[in-house]
Amino acid sequence: MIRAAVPAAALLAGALLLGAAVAEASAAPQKRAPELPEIDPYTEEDPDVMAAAGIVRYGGFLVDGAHLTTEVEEVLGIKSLRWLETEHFRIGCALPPYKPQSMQEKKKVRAELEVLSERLKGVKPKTRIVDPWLRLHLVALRAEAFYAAFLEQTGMTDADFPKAGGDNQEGEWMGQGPYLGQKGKFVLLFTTKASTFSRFCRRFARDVEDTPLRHMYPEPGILLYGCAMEHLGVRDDADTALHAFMGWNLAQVFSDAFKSFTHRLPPWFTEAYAHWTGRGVDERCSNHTPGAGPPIRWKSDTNWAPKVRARVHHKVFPSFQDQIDARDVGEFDFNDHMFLWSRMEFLMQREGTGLGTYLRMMKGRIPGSISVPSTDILFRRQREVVFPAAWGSTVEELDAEWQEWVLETYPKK
Amino acid sequence: MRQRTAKDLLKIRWDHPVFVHPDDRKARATGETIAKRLREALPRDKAMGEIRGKDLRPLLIVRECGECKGTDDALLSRTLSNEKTLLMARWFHCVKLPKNVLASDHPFRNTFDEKDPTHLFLASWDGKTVIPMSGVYTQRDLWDAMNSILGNAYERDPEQALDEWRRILDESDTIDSMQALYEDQYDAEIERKGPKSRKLKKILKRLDEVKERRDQLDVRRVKVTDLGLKRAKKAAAELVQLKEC
Repeated sequence: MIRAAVPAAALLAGALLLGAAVAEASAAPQKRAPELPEIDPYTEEDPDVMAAAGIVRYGGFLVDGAHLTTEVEEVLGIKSLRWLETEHFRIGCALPPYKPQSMQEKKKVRAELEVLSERLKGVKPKTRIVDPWLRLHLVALRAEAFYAAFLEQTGMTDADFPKAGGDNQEGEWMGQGPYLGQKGKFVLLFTTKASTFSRFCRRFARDVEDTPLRHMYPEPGILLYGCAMEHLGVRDDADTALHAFMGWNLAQVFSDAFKSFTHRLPPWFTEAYAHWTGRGVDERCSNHTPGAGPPIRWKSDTNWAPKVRARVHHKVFPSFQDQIDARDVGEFDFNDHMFLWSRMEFLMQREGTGLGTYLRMMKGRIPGSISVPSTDILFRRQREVVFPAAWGSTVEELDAEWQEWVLETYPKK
Repeated sequence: MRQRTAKDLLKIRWDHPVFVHPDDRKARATGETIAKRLREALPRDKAMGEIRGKDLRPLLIVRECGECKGTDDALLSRTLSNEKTLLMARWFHCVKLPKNVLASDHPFRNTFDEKDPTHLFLASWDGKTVIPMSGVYTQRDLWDAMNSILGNAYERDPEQALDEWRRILDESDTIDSMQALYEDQYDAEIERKGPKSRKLKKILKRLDEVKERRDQLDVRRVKVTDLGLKRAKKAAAELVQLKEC
């Protein structure tokens, strides 16, 4: 190896140096954050406490169906990674300690910690800093809450999905496994650094360019969602944003998983349902979905209702028919996303379980057939059969009702 | 304050290579199950080859550490403008290796010096020429080292291209600001007065002009930033020769 010499550094007085921080850091005694305990201090791995908290185990499972948690740890090389399995999720979490900033976020986190304090040992809801173990518990709590909400919104229960795949008693094919139709539990991975997440993707999923990832492992039937805190950028409400983006992405993951991920749903649905779910956490975190879809200039104004109302008032909006016929998410611009969210909000406030009917008819096999529908058939069915069955009206009728609803419901400002 | 396009251009596209043993790669493709193998450090040449992949640009390799916390202290200044460094980095294949790369059994351990592993080093595409950035160094030292590697790797002088590139960044800021302004004006107008507003036509015309300026700038940017990678040309020539044989 040839080593070229670095030109001698002209160390002028006051010169600003690179590498200096690193050099100093290694020389000076460090004030380090307290070591993260190996064992969860909030259950101490007591089986009774774990069962009460819905915790199945800590690590020791196959993350992607082929690699154990220890193998992932070896590749990522970080000590802060902790694993936890719940009824429906396998979670890897390397989030740093977090101090809620705004009053709103403090209240939100405190309410969640109140829930955890009823299930775990020694949780202080008024704690000022949420430590990494608590952050893992918060992720698990939120993930299971999104899962339960999805079941409720679709009018389904876990029992509706087959343990080993197949039809239900009415002869409806319900997927390949018990997790909304998927064989494996959903996997979540959250890291602090984008580089750590990127290494995971490269080794255990697929290459991504510095973005969050939703990924399908076909054979074990596992769907993964993960991201790094760095993907969310520097922001005061980072934990709320993480929660909202998790909702946004899990909405897509659950829709994909429903009756197995055999084919993609029309983009209007996945985007609309994701916006509705993510904004349900906090609408201020709704204008940015990192890594998802085309690069849109997400505008800073997150108060979408008055904007939608004004456009409906002036009759400047894409028809519902045009939106549901879009084949590619890239066809939607910022305003389209606002209308998608609003249309989903309108559909979700209607009585019944239209969402469940829509998904049952759009996913899985066509009745009387053993194959999944082609894209053309899927879109035709959606328009002609599925919308009337799910929401009791044609797309045109729903569009007219939505306009009236917007003008009656949304504020002018 | 840089705008959206410039921010994107100033972002380093880090590569985070991980070593996958050929047997594991095969197993992943075929779905076979294989026994877990013991991890071991690769010989330096092989490690550099794995890190390089098919990218023929010179290498800029950073080793993460517990103190950097994502601020890339070894590469970027906390107090000075880093624009020049970030622009120059675009001509490198920028690689970030994890903290545990210094473990004796890490596949990429041998890319670093055994006794004095630096946080940052620059290297030619094949790893034969290396400039370790050790100890304390100024931004000027770093630029000199980067220029030294780039000078050998590319046909054109990077320093000349940098001036033009900065002008392009300034112009893209103007274009981004104008686009955002006109888009916001359009939205406000349509939400206030509806599609019959007389102002809309004028705003749309301005937006078209901005788009045209952006297209022209993109063409200029591609031309300016292509310094002519010598190794890529050589590889192409070798391929032609091979086909002729």
